[in-house]
Amino acid sequence: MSAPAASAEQRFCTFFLGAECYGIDILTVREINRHVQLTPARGAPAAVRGFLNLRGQIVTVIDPAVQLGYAKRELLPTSRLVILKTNADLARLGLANLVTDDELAGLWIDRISDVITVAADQITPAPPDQSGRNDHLIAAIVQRNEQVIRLVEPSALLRHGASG
Amino acid sequence: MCSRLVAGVDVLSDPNLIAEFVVESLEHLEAVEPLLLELEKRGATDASALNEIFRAVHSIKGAAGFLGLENVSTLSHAMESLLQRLRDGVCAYRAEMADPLLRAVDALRTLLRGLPGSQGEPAAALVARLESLLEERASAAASNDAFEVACEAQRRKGHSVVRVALPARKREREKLEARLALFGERIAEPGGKGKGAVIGSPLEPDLLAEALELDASRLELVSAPVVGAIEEFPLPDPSRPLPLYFGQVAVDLGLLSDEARRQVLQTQRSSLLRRTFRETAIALRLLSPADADAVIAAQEKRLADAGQTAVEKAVPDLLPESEAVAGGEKRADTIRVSLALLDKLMNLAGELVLGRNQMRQLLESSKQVGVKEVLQSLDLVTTELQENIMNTRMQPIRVLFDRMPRLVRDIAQRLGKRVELETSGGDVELDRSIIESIADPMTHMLRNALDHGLEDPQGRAVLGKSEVGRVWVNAYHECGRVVMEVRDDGRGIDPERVKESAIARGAISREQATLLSEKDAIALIFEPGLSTASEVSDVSGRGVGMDVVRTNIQNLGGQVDVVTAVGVGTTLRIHLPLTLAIIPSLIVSVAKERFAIPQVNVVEVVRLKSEAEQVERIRSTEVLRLRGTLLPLVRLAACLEIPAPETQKRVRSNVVVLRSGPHSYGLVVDELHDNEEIVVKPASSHLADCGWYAGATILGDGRVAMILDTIGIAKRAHIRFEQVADEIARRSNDEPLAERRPARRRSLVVFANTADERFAVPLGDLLRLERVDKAQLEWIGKKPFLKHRGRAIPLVHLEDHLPVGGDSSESDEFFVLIPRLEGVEAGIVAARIVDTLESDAQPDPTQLHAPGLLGSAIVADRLTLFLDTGALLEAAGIERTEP
Repeated sequence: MSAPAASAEQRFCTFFLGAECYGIDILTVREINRHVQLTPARGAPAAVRGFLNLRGQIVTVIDPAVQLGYAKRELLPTSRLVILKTNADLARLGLANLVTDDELAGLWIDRISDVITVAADQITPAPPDQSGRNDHLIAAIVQRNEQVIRLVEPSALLRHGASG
Repeated sequence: MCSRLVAGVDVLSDPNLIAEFVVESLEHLEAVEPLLLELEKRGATDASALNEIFRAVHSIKGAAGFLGLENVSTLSHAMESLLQRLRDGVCAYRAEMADPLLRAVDALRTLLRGLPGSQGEPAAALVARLESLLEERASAAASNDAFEVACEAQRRKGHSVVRVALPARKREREKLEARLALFGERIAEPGGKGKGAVIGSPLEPDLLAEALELDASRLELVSAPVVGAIEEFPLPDPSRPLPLYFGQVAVDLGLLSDEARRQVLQTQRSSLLRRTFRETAIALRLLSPADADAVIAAQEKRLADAGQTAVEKAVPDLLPESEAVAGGEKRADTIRVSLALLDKLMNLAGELVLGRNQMRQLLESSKQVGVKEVLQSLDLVTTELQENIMNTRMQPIRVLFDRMPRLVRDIAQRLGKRVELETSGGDVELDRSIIESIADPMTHMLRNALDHGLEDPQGRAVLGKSEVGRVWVNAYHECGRVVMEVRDDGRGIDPERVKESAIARGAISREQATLLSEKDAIALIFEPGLSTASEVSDVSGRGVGMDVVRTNIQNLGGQVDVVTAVGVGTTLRIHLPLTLAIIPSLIVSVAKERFAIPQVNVVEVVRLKSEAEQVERIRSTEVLRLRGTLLPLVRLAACLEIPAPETQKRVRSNVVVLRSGPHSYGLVVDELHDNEEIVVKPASSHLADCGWYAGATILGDGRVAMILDTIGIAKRAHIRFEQVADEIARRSNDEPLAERRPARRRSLVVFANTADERFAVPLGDLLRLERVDKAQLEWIGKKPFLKHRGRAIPLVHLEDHLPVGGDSSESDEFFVLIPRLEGVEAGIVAARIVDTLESDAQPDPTQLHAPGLLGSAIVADRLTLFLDTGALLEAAGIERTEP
């Protein structure tokens, strides 16, 4: 995660991939959409699930589970797309300290959960080998009501594996 | 200098008002500049243009005065004063006025762009220069030049002032002077004896020449009439024909149709030969000499009957196009909209699409009567709305072309060169952001063409070229890309000089240089710091430029290439990516997944009747037997690894025959859908590695579809084109030709001018092939023409435009090949026709490249150069006449 903001609190949008809970800085989220039928991305890396038309703009849909080293997500009734702001959007909003991607992209998630407010001192570095997978995509963790929330680094999540 | 400070500080401090004024004024100047250039070019006073310029400058001055913008107001006032005198005919337009006026336009622009922040520097020197032009005129007026006053009076009547050369022989002179009196008013010219008679006539010079039965070269236009400027003098009524013209008399006598008369007039105007109407009509075989004599007799009689009243009846029957020119002022039916607003509209339309989709889902199962119809119309309107808003971002490339004449004029003037600029393809549309990004590279390329490409007038004269250098700027669609081309007919780029320069700069070693092909050597011009200009001029030649051009274009995802022939000229081509351009595409689908294929890549579509009968294998490659030839096949589903749908229903496949570089192949798809005009968007960078796509688009129903890159797909499928070619060759040897006739086989005319060079032109590209005797040639200056059916057809010798040898045999007979080209009539000279044969040879463009050459191929065991007739004639400067 980019350097914790000077303010003591950060807000995260949380979501589920299977049973695991993840969080993403809410300032990077543009909107959350219901699933629509995607155009498959033939020839793209496995994590790219397809494309959708968001009001005239093409959004690349990434499956974060694949990026993290799990199996592809199946489409569930609760599945949602978390559309992220682009770097240009962030810069325009004066959030240049946050990094996502130059292209419009969305994350394919199983279920959307709450927006949580976390004090800076509650965020701890992710322990190594925490899941034995692509842990560097997890920037930090937060413990909440017996639930570990993995905070993801959006720029890494969107791009990792795209080259490989 | 009067300043019109009407309002005080309040108005001045309103930045909105000033911003509006700036935008409006800049737009006025945009309109003024081409008009000033036109004035300069034509050298004659065109009242409607002057009026338009005057009005624009006047409104700038007025508003500037109102806003208290002293500098703008002073400068525009000086311009206005000069323009007013020109408009009112108090003084005549002179060539030396062009420069200060254009400079004033520039200075005004600079002042306006500084607003509202800075008032800028007063352009005192320029104002003084404009005022001095006024004073010169004032002193001339003081001499009370009766001649000019008389000319002016004629002009304001809507009459042309024409000087007619008078014949030396007294009888003829008197006869002509008598006729002159019928068609105009004589104006006494002080000291004008010997220069001819000056008359003011309601007729245009061309028509006057016809009326006077004179060769048009004996007439000289002194000044053109004030067209439409002075309302109280009505324009001549074109519906009333004048009975005295030769042409009109011939029509009245039934010897000539109206259509034919028009044709004669047009030929007479466009022809290099200055001939009278009668001579032209006879030359075109539209009138026999005997009939012409009869017309003259009738005309004489009518002239005698008409007597002095002829002038009143002398109403020129104008050609429709001249009416159009004289017609009302131009007004663009557009308004200004800010980009931010457009973007917002685009977003809102997107939201509307989303809403429509949701509504459709909700109401799909509705039993309510009429819901379906309402949904359907909502659907249509929404889609159309979205498309139209997207189109608002597209601009014709003309916006860029319109800036070029001024640029070319200024550079040419600074370099002391004479240059004619021609642009085509202004309608090609590109996203405005791309247009903005290519403006600078295009400027660089134009500068280079003028400075390095074109020789100076003396140099050109020595080479036998026209002193006026030519530069063409074209835009067109090719293979789904937009191509912008800057071409000159200058000296070309000498690969040896480029090498020398690169060695001198240490960019390459001498050893490396010897290994470089010509093409690679020429490509060195795109390296930083390299220039072949022997000396640095203030226009270019500092060695920055071409590398910047290349970088800029590459940043846009485009390419630049150069084609040059020493002594013939250079063509620089920018290939711009599809991105954002709108292209017609064929939509296909495999297993319900849809893809777009740019229409330019599609040759044809074939429905497979029976795979077993039509498809076979050559080792690893599937091929389709198509009209006797073999076409390699690519199955799109397999190529893109699209899984077959579970409910495997045998669908009858379709084959889309695609062009991919020099090859063709067939793409097997399940279904063909409609053709759609698609807006190309960049493909996701996640797909960049695979190279299968040229972009992505959003189809009419809102779904995303990928655009296939035909070359990328061919690469992906590893088509073995050479195996297929071998097989075709083997079979055509084995089996009778008639059965296995390759589709591309065509008839070629093979000809030669020297013993060792052969040329070929497809017979289908030729309109006629003529055997010609030298006696049929006519020379105008250094240019040969063929007299043919009463026309003079310009002839092109290959050796003049291509690096090839010329015919040295002094034979009296030769051949002329007349290509089949729209609006172009010209002949290519061939010393002898070698053969007319059937061949499937395809010219290979990589071997040779020069404008006019398609490439080379082996035909009948000999290396043969294939001509590109269109490009050749263009390179030879043959002009296209509008049909």
